[in-house]
Amino acid sequence: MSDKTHFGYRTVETEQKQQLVGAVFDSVAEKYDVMNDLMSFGIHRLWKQYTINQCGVRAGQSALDLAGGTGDLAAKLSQRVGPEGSVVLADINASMLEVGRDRLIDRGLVSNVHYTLANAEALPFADSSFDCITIAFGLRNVTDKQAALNSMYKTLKPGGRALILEFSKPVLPLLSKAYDAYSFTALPALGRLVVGDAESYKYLAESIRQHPDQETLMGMMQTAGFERCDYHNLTGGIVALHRGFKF
Amino acid sequence: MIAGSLFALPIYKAVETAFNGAIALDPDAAARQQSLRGRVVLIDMTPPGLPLYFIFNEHRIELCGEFSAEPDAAIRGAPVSLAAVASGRTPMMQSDVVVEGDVDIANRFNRFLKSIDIDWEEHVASLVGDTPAHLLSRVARSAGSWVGQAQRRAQDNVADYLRDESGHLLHQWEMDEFIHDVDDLRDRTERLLRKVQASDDQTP
Repeated sequence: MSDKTHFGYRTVETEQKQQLVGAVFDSVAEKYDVMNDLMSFGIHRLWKQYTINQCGVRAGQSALDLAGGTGDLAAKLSQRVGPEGSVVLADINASMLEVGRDRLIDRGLVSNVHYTLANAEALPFADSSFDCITIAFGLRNVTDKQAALNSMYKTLKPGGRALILEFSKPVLPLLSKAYDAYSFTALPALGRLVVGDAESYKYLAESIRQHPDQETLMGMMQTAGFERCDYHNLTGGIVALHRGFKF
Repeated sequence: MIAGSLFALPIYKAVETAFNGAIALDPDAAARQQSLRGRVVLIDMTPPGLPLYFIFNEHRIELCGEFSAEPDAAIRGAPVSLAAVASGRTPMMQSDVVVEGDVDIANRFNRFLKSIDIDWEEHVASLVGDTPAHLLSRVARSAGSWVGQAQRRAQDNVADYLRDESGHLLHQWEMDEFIHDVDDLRDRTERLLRKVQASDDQTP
């Protein structure tokens, strides 16, 4: 009997999820940034800037931006590490990686950024390769999240840190109700209007609900071996930034 | 514990944009900031405890309120003391400003800030033309000079009042006289002490 997993609220074969998620991102890749701005009213830029402020990356270091999509974090990391450092922008989806690569090249960020088509569950890098690993709004799309966290821990250098920026569980009951109403009605409608694809944004809303809450994710990080794990709720817990170190 | 708030981020971003914009107006500043490339300097105003990290990237200086790692140098002090050091009125070593970490980097940072020299007239001229720019520049210089004179006059008036009217402060000559009297008293006390000691020594 094959294993089952969830794809939004649907239960699907484990092997099938990767293809289904791939199809979602193939569909939205071109308008990904526009939709992010529309859906979050631009606040996703602040969430990402906050993440960069917590990364502690400095000149000459190496960073991995997992599920890096259109390269928002990779661009900022590239400026931080400078010409002596390096940034790897990795994504499992070729369409997203292509959009990210084009954007960074257009911004003149070419000398220290490398691109890898990679599955977060089995990262194709040597152990202890990176000073910092970031994954923003990507972990919930990974089929085996624990495997991804284990793989991140392995490729992190001792003393390095991992930062996970992801949708989470709102901590205020009223905000939670408003957020539910917004994400199950407005998001698919926006998706239909802008990208011509309501289903992908219905999946987004459902996948957020299926994602582990703040404490569960922190426990998973600890299971992977991360130490001094903590998290910070952003915008009332709609998004949370988790941080863990490898010593 | 991860801390901080999202609300301050746009403010830091606005300050960063303005700061980089100002530096871009000084053609030599970019070359000078290379001496700090890859370095992180913290300016901490205490009070009110307002941290400002300057992260010197290859082409741009990033400003933020958090860095989440140790800066190369931290410069802490009251806003007035920091302003006095930044403007060059007070040398860093003679001020209340506390420097932690790499002192050389702190000095380089201080020199970098002091060396920023923007030719406003030239940049305004590129927008509105030479003649209006020169006129605007003269008006600005006159205004600056008037403000400076007014400030000096106000300082003199306050000082005169405190010395001559309210009697809270002394004139310089009164102070000199007082110091002279204290010196004289000290010398006479010293002489008296010696005499008493000498007479004590002679007593069998």
